[in-house]
Amino acid sequence: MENEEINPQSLERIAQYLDGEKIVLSAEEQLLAAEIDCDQRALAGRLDDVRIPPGTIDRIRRQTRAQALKPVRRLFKVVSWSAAAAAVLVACMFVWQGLNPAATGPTNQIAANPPAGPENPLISMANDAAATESDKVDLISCMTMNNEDLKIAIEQTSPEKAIFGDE
Amino acid sequence: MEADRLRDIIARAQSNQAEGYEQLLAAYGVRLYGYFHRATGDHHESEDLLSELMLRLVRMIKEYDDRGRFEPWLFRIASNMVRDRIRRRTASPSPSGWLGESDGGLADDEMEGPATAVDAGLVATDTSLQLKQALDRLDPTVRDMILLRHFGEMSFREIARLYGCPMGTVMARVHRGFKALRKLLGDDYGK
Repeated sequence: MENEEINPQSLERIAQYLDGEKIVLSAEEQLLAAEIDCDQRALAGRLDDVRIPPGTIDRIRRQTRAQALKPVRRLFKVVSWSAAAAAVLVACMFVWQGLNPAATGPTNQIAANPPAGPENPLISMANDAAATESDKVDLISCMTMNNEDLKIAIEQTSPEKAIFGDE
Repeated sequence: MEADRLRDIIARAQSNQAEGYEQLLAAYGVRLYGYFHRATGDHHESEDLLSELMLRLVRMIKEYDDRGRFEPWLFRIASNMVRDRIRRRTASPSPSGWLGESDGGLADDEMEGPATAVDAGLVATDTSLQLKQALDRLDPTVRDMILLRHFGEMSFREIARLYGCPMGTVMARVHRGFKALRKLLGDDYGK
C-alpha cells in the first residue's frame, strides 16, 4: 500500500494503534497497520543477528566498574594526601623544635609560669586593681615616710612580704 | 525485565554501586551493541559507543527519575550519541569511514549511490552483510527510527518526541523505510 494515499491523521491513528492505544481503524488503515506490523516482525530476526566479538562486554564491564568506583577512590586519595601532609607538617614541627630548643620551649614556659620572685610591694599595691580607697591613702602616706616607718607600715600590711633588712 | 527488578538495579546504580551498572550492562548490553552495530555497521565503533554510553550512564543515571520507562531514556542517549558521531564523522571524514558518511545518508526514495566501504573483517564475520548494505542506503533518520523501534522498543510517540515531529511523520518515514528495505533485500527480507 502506498502511504501517500493515507492522510497524516490516518498515519497518526495507525501509529497510536501500533503503540497499543485503543483506536478503531478504517479498513484501509487496518490494512496499512497490518503491513507495517508484518514488516517489523519480518525484519526483527535479521536485525538481531549481530555477533558481539568475544571479550567486548567484559572489557566494557571492567571500564564501567572502574568509572563507578572513581569517586570513592578520589575521596580516598584526597583523605590519604591530607593525612600524609598533616603527618609531614607535624614531623617538621618536631624536627624544628629539636633543632631550636631555646626558640620555643623556655619562652613558652615563661609565658605559662611567670617567675614568683621578690616584688616591690609598693608597685604591687599600686597595680592591684582590687586595691581599696583606704589602701591608696595608705600608699600616699607611705611615700612621705622615712625608711624605718615604711618598714613597719609594710609589715603591718603584708608581713610575709617584708623585705627590708630581714635577711 | 520485571519492573521491580529493574527499579532495584537502577536504584543500585543511582547509589553508585558498581553491581548496578554491571547488571544494567548485562540486561541491555547486547541490545545496545546491536543498535550501535546496525547504526554504524562497524564493530569497533559499536564497542566504542557502548563503552562511552556506559561511562555516560555512570554520570547521568541520577538524572533518571522513575516516572518514565527506562529503555526509551537509555536509547535516547544512545541515539544522540550515534547522531553526534555521524555529525563528527561527516565534518571530518576518515578513509575507513562507516555508513554515517558513506553516502551522506540517501533518502529511501533515491536508492542509487556509491557502495559503502566495508570493513574486511566484518565481511568475514557478519552474515548479514546484505542487511548492512541495505541499512546503509537508508536516510540516517529513517534508519534510526526503525532501529529505535526494534532495539529500544520505543513507541511511535516516544520516537516522535525524540525527533520533535508528529507521530504521523514518524509512521510515514518508518513505513517508507520498510518498503525500501523490502525492495533492497528482495526475497531475503525477513529471512
